Amino acid sequence: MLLRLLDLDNRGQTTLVIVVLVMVVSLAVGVAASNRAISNIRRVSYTSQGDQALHCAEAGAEDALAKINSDLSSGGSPVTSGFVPPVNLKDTEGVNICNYSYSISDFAGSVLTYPLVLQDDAQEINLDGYSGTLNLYFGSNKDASLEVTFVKGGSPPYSIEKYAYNCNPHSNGFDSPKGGGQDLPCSTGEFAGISGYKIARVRPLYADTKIVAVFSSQSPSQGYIVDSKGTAADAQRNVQVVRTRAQLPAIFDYGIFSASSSEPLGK
Amino acid sequence: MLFCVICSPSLAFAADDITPPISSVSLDPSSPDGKNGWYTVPVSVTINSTDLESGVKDINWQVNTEPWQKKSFSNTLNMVLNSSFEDNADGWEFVPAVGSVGARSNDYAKLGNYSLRTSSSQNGLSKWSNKESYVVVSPWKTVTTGVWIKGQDVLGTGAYFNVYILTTSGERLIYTSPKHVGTFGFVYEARDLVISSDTAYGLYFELVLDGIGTAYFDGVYASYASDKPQVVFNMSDNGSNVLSYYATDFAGNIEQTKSVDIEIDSVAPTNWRDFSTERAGNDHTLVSSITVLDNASGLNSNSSEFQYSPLYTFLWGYFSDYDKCSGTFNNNKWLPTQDSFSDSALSGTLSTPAVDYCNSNWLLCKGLRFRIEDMAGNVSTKEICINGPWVQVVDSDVMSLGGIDMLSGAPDYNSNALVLSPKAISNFSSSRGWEVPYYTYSGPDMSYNDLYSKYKPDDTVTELPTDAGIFRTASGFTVQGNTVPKDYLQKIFSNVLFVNGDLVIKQDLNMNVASGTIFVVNGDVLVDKNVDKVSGFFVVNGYFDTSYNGGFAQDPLVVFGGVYADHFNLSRSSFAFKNKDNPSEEFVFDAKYLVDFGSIFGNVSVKWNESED
Repeated sequence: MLLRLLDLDNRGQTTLVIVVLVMVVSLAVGVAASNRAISNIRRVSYTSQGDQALHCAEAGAEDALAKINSDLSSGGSPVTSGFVPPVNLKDTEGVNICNYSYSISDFAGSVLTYPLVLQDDAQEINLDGYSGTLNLYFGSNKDASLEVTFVKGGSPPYSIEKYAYNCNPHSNGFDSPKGGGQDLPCSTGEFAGISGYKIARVRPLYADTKIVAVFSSQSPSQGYIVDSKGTAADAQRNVQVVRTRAQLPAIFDYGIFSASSSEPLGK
Repeated sequence: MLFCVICSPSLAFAADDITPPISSVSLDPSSPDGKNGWYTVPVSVTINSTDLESGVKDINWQVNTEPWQKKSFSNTLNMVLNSSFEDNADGWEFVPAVGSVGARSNDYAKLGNYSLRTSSSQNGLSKWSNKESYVVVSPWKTVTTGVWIKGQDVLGTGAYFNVYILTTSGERLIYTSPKHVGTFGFVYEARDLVISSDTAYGLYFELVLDGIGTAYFDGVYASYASDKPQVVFNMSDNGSNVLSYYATDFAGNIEQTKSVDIEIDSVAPTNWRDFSTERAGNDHTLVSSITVLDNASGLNSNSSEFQYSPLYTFLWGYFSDYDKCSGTFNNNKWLPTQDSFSDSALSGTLSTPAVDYCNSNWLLCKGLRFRIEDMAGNVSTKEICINGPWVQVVDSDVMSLGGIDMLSGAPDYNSNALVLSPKAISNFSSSRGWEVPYYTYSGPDMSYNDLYSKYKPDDTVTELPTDAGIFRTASGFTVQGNTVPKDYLQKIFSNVLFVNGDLVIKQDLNMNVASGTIFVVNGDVLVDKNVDKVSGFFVVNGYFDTSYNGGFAQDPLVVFGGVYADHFNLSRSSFAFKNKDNPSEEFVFDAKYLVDFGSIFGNVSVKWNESED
């Protein structure tokens, strides 16, 4: 097309067309460049707003945890009916930066996910008042094995049942795992006939692992879940916090714990 | 092996590399230090790969069935021209000695089919040199050099290689490899060298036979050492390990996978357990047996022995008429046991014949000592006090960070739950077989000060508290008549008592079945030998001593609860034959602490996650 235009007899017209073409191209380049710049500015702005929203969501979760502690110490229930009204966070000049809103619900249900439980730590599962079955899925690290201790009885003296499962094989006499599920490769299989139990203490050995507890019906409350939303301009970030019931540390699972690494337990 | 040489000896690249890399493994220690081909220490593994044309791209390795691992390289091109002599010996000049002959040969080769051979019937130094086709190098760079060398009946100084650098002021020897004599297969001699001259511009090799015999040279290698094609790692897994490995080059050639067996057993036979003894005549003539495990190399069935110490003289050995306690006492000598091993010999039961221990004075310990080796040569011994005191733990786990080593075995089992230790477990068994020695424990520590700062006591007490809450004593505390409230057994409470010193228990410490106290003790817990029942969960900075004022007690001690202590002194023993059927200390777990104490002495777990909308 350009060649055809250059063939025109009128050189003035040709020059005009070339000038117009150059302007159009320049304009296009300019528009593209400014679009790119605006896009970058937007991205930086969104990133900044996203960070603000996340910090705000975390502030909301902290607020909710404080409410849980306060309500529990005063004998009340911290559970909210839906999200609380948004709370604005302002800068030193009183300008709104972001806002948060949170809800507090019972950590209960038929499928409960316990985020990573550390090796040699204990995760307590409340079974008080529960009747039904329980299956524990584990092995996000397949080296992890699981010891499960059930405490039975309505009042002291309680009785004890113990089970132990490997995910990968280890030389320890533990049972082999049952099939996986809940995106985890191993399980304990179904513990049937759970009734009159107080708690289960679940202890990973050899490695940390995520644990998913599957109940045949609604579980007793295991604590609280906080869902917190932070909003800054167009950005929203969400934080979830699982706060379990208070439980004794894992050393209380031992009848004898000899902490000296230099001297054997001997007789 | 076709090379395209452009302009000068300095520039070469692989135009048609069809030869895969060659990898070799070296181990440290270089040969098994134990018996029967077993290592008894962790092994350092080095995989070296060479590729004479396009260079090693990556080394891949796998231990047993674990996932393959890969290490990639970027600058491993061999700069030596005609390094494997597959088509000719161009670029290499032979400098003979009297009586020596040099030739390109297909007798033996490490890479491809050809190598350079030097045969000499008279003593003298002959060599191959690539001085005219030197490798171009830059000053002060580090270059990895290497040559495969094989020898047959080499006498004299030996077969080796020299490396020279060329500088504007002449040539200079910078390295002489180790010298090999005798008959030997291809060995790879390699060394990283610094081109130590400001005016260096080249490097060349001399492949030397100094003496009589025949030497072969192959795979001459030089590359900048910034990315040395080498992998180094340690193997410490006990058992028979298979290491598989291969390398690839930049032309896409893949080496055939090779493997090497590395058998490691660094642990002596362990988990001595299930000691039992039966009368075989009078009440001091006994047949005894014990079980032992070795999960790596297995037990050496020809190595099991026993000796005994019947008279509490600390002399160990046996009487020549050991079934009659008569004859000569063979001091420090051993008798063979009668054994029964599992098919794989990973476990075995060692039994003594009927042995007369000379008298019925069971107040004193009659010692019996077993000894066995595993196939790797690790030796394990176990001493037993026959009819000695033992410990039982009911319904709870046992952990000892320093190992478990009991002199006397339980008639049945020591525990009905899990037994863990990062070290050996000896003569302490679980009815479920849940004994886990050499366990890597990663749980937290616990101390008086940590707990005291976290759980502030409400009040200071001078007698055992019977209210709910957290209390402290000003100093040490003694459980005796005036410190135990009169209605203590009737009260229902859950509390914690910080004892700022030793806790001395001089009388039975019984509580209501629904009550409990966690004692956190900034000292020792000292239990009187006349006390036979103690309730509570004890967290102890120092010793938990079950019979501080003399080991012989009329009755065993039963602890209802549990004990976490820095040290245990399980010093209690019963008189006469009580030890045979009754534990001297029994720890009966009380789960009320788990159920009822979370709210006053527990922690909540708080886990954060960013979630989707």
